[in-house]
Amino acid sequence: MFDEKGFLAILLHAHLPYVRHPEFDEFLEEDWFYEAVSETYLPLIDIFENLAQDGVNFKVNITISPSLASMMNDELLRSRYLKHLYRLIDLTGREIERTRHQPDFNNLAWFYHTRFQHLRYLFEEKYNRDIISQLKRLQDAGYLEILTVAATHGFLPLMEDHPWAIRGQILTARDYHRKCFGRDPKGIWLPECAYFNGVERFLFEAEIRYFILDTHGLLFGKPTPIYGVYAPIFTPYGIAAYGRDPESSKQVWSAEEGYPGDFDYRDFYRDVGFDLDYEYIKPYIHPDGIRIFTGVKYYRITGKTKHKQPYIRDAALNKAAIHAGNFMFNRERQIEYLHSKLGIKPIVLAPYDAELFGHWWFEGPEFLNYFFRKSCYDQKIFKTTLLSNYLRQFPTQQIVNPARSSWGNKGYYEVWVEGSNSWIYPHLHVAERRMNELANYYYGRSEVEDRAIRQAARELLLAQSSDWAFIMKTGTAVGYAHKRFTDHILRFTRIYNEVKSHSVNLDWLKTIEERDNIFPEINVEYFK
Amino acid sequence: MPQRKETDESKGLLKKSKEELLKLAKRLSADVKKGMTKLQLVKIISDLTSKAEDAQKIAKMHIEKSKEKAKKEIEKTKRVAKSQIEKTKRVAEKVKSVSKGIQRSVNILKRTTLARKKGRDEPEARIVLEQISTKPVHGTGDVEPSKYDMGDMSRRKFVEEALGTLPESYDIDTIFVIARDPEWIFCYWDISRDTIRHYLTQSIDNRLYIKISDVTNIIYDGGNANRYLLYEIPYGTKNWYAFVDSPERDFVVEIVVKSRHGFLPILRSKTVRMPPSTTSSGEVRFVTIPFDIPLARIKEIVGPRLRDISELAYLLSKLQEEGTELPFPYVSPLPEGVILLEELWGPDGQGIRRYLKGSEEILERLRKALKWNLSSSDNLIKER
Repeated sequence: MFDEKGFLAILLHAHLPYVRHPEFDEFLEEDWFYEAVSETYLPLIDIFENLAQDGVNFKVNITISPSLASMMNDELLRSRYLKHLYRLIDLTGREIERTRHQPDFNNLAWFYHTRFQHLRYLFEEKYNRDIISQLKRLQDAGYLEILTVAATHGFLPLMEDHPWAIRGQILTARDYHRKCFGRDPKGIWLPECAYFNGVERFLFEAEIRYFILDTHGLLFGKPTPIYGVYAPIFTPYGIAAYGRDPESSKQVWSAEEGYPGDFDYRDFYRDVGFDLDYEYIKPYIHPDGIRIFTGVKYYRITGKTKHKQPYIRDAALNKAAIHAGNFMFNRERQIEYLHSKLGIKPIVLAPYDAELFGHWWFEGPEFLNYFFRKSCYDQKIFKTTLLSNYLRQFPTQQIVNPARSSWGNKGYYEVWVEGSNSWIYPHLHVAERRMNELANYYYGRSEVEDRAIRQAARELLLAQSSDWAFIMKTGTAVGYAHKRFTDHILRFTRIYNEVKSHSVNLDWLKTIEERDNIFPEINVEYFK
Repeated sequence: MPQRKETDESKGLLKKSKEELLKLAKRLSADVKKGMTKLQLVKIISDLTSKAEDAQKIAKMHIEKSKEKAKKEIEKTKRVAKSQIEKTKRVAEKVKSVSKGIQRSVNILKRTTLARKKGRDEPEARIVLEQISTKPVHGTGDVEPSKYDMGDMSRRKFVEEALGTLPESYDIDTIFVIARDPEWIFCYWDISRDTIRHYLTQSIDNRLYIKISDVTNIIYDGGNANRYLLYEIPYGTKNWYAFVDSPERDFVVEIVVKSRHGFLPILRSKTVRMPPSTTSSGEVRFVTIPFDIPLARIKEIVGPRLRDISELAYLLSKLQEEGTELPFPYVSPLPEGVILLEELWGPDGQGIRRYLKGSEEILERLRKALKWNLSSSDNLIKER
């Protein structure tokens, strides 16, 4: 053990919107989840378990959004994921045969084949399909701190006029977190780090003790904290807030300057789903014949060129190790400096989208693996820490009233309120008011209507996901985001009308309950 | 051997007549001078032929050598290939044994996808990925949306549910406003037909206007704004992005008609405060809040002096400053560290003023400042 000069808190924000379509045998957007499981969640858990097994002292903070946790717990998605994996094992088996005269690709086909088999082993045999329990085990062993997120990642500042809507998001999240991880969340990731003054009122009720802000949420606060973002602050409500460290963020986030852009790393876009002959790849893409990413990618970034060269796994891993060393060195210097300047043991908070590691940056999980091992054995400047532990150890902090902000482009709310997506808010706000009306005046009258009102709450929560607005803005799957938003609002509206006219159609309700089955134990009281 | 051969040849040449020799020499394009003796001619010719033979021999030798080399190469390649094949076989067997357990499930899966696979001939031979790929890229190229990026989704179709469409209007009177960023206010409204009809009867020009008023530090009564922006609302427009560029100032948005008595508000929003876009100074106050004592309990401890939980931290800090006895330890805290922001941007954060409008720029600035400080930290420490 050594006397550290400060702390580093790695925070991985894991979230996906709830995508589950039992009405179809296969549904393309469910692949978001399957790909993230294969590329991010399973590899990360595998790495964490190996670190623990090897006696490496490491600490990671991770947010598991309730909508993501719900997908991890869903039997249908679990079995579909397994089917998805088997198909990839099948594909890579055929790839080994197809590439037999091209040693570079053949090596990669073998690599993917064994990788998918290993994932299958982890998921089906070792974890018994239950990812949440693995995370809980790591939490209980003290390696992991699991933060929650608003129930469906709703953008809270846009609900400011409707306190019950925020309560519904926060308290539903708290309940589901408790159910998954056996304890209440101490910390929360406000969706998109979107903060408005007073959101703490709802965190207070849930006994949530800290949340995360983007850098300027703290620096533009009243007053600007004397330690910058290198210590948490207490907001006037007595809830702590941590600010994002810009330096460590940039090194990983930036597509160009950051590590993930290194030429030896795997290229994200070059995928056999697009590159191979249609007849050959057909069974592995969408049944409608739409080419999609399969996750089998043979090329490296190579350079700022269209001419991509084959991926060399060993070279990429070597780079990940070098980058891990560089990241550690930079944190050492940074923390050493901050310690000498500030006279405290500073905390550097480095938050990232979890899916960045593995999905976008294929070697990201290995980078973390190397980083934790190196940090444990090769330096004596900082320790990795859990956000709760730091506050436990240092309960005396400055009082600062933070600034409205988010971590989206330009730092405020623009990403979620602009030409492509602002049309959704009139509908959302009406639905929120109607939900309040249902909860206040119609709940507790009849069993069937209560059931319908509970479903209405689910529909509202699902419509509120900030992901729909984000996708409309960024243009990746606009049609789907439109469909999802519209479907949930229309389902909600139908339930609202049926409850008010005491004419609930039970058959239809059952279908909708089966489809949008998130939060089975949802509490309507929160929406009063 | 060559010696003898040469003599043999010379003997043969000697038997020939001078004319024959001359012809031969010319054919060999030898340097023949007039008045050469028969012997001289024989010498020249035999020299030339032996030279040619030597060259031929050397060439032959080279060919032999390279043949042998090639043979060796081929054998070596064969050996390597053989061992590679062996190796691959071994790996294949290993994998085969590993995947045995899942083979059954794969088979099941294969059966289920058989319908789709049916009728497909084996096209494998003609699909070969180029060693250097120049295929086009499908996707946005951005980091953040990558988790929703599946490639080109333009052909994606969805089945419509028979639930109708979203209404254009809910026929209610409502106005929503949000300070989107330090520069922009976003607002939308919905006005019922009855309301519009009612107000338009009082309008002098039959038009709707949006009025955005700066109400900082005043109690707004509809006519006392510090300043306001007024726009005519085009027919059918139901939302507005208003550029006010006024961090930390308060605004009210109204939908109004012009009447004979001035503006007549149809809808008036709540007051919104624009977010700050710079650092600020103020009283530095610390508080001890033990992590493992529930907030509800801390609220109890602070007691009836607490009017609202938004004052909890300040009140607790005051109690601690006064040395009040509390059921948990606390320090009377005073910061000893320097103010980091001053280090980075000078007093009051002058360096991070309004021109830094986006988070990215802010981050970039911070990052550079930090980097600079990191690289020069030794000097700074020494100076102090």
